[in-house]
Amino acid sequence: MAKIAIDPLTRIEGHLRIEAQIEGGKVVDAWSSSTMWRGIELIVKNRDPREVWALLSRI
Amino acid sequence: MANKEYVWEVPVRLTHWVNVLSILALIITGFYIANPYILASSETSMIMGSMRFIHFVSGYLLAVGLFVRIYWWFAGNKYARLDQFLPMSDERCKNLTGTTQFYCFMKNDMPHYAGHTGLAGITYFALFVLFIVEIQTGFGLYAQSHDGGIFWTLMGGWLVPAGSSGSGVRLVHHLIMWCVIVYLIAHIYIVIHNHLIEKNGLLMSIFNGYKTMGDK
Amino acid sequence: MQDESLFSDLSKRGISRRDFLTFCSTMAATLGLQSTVVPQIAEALEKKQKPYVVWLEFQDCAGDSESILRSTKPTIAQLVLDVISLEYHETIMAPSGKNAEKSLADVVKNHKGKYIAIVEGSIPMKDGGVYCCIGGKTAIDMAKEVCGNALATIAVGSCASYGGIPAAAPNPTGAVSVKQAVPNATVINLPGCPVNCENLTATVVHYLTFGALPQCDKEGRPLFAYGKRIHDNCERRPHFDAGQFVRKWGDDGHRKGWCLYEMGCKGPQSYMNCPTIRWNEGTSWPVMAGHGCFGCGQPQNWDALGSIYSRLPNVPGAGYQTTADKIGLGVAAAAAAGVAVHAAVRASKCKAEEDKK
Repeated sequence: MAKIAIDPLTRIEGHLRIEAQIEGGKVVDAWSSSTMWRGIELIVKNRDPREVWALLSRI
Repeated sequence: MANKEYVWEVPVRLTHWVNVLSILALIITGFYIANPYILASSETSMIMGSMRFIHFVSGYLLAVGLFVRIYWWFAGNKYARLDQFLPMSDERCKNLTGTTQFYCFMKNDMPHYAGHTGLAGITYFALFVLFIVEIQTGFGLYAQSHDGGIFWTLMGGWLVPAGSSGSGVRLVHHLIMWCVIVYLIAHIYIVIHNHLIEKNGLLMSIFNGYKTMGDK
Repeated sequence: MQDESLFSDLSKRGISRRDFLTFCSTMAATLGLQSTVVPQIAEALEKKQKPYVVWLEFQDCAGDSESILRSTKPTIAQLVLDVISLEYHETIMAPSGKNAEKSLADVVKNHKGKYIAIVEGSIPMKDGGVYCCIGGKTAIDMAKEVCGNALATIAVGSCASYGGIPAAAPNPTGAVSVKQAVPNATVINLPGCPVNCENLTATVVHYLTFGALPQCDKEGRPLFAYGKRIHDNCERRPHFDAGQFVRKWGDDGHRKGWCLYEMGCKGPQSYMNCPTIRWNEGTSWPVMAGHGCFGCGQPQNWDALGSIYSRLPNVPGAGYQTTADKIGLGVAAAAAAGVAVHAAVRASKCKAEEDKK
């Protein structure tokens, strides 16, 4: 019975952490969590709607 | 017994008209620079280029006019001095309150004085402050096209360090233009208003320097 | 691998000496240096040992990594980037998890004070820095350790240089630049959204040639790339001076390539070498493609410059629709109305007095 964690997951865009519960050589449970947040949905509020594309394309 | 009083000396009248012409030019060209309202018909036109040129020359003229007038605060006759702008005596404060009360219909008559009213004095002073900020912000923006040096830094370049966008400076420069336009509306009205109320030849005095004082 | 010089690498891959020298000339031009410097650049790249480099990503979109990877010429530029022995880069490295972190830790320990750190993305400071964690460590802790022990840190992109998009109002995570997060580190800022990879390459080449980072302005940006205003180098400037402006997308002027000033171009307020070196190996840049510059390399561009399509910044507290002109016109109209009312009252009072007499 062991819990493994792969953090950072490389060769992807962004930051990701994968955890897995291993029992008898099999994965019995797994978790993924993105480990970075910027709040761009909050940042685009109250701005000119015509410029939102420029901010969102940087997600 | 009415008598003619020499109120506005040549430097006062000259700088006034230099300011009027340069401010009109600055507003017309300034509006264009912010919002080009004429579209050129060919590549050989130079509309924005000319507007900017006139704007810069007028800016220099206003700066010189202001500088000369500020000097005249200390060198001119009793109607031109600094104490006519900032109320530093009891008499000037009384003039200020009396004039304000008359304009607000709280009194039926205004103080009669050959020079600036107390209210005119402080509003003109506030206007000069606005001009100084406008000149500094304007030359600060203009300095972006120049490579530093003590003249450009002092004239306004210190406001827009190399590499910075100067967007706040632009906004202030634009807003002050509106302040001057609002001021112009009030100024032209009040001058005509006072000319008709006081019957002292106020309108002509900014041309020939004389007001007619005394009993009417 | 790490102890080879660039030229031995290149000759193994069949790159001729002529191509190599052409690259050195291009670098000299980008750096704004005379052609007499080219032999010096060539010598440095031929002889110097590859420096160790780690590339950290924090609150980023990987745009700056994409910018570097866009080097489509599979020749000199891309290979020179091989000259920076890239020991750690989450988006492209082979190992993951603990093995990846080991690569990073090894460089910091074994080459302390000698490696270069390249940082992409901002660093969140709020709530203990939890909004960006890698391998269980917060970004701020990683930055302090890696940048604090580096020879120098190159902050690529506007997020690492100024805070960028994550730091735009209301900055929910307390995002800051590398310099703000690690004040003691030697940081050179290469803003841009993303950074132009030519500027990064030239900065590295400068370091290899002269043993020092290029001359920078007060914001820590190299003058060779950020010293000139875009408006003063734009190919559409004659249209600006003439008074030929695009008024609507796709109108006649737009098709003829007229100035994009009225479409909100921030060229007059931006300092970068986009008009000169352009993007995607000199293909084009925003204005050339028909869209105004939005000042992506300027500090706090998302808040200070107003909307991408507005001429003036927002009046503080007024929102993007209540422009300075609307406010000005409103106040002027109120003044005119006030004057009219005053005149009417005064006239009636004077008439009343006349009637009395």
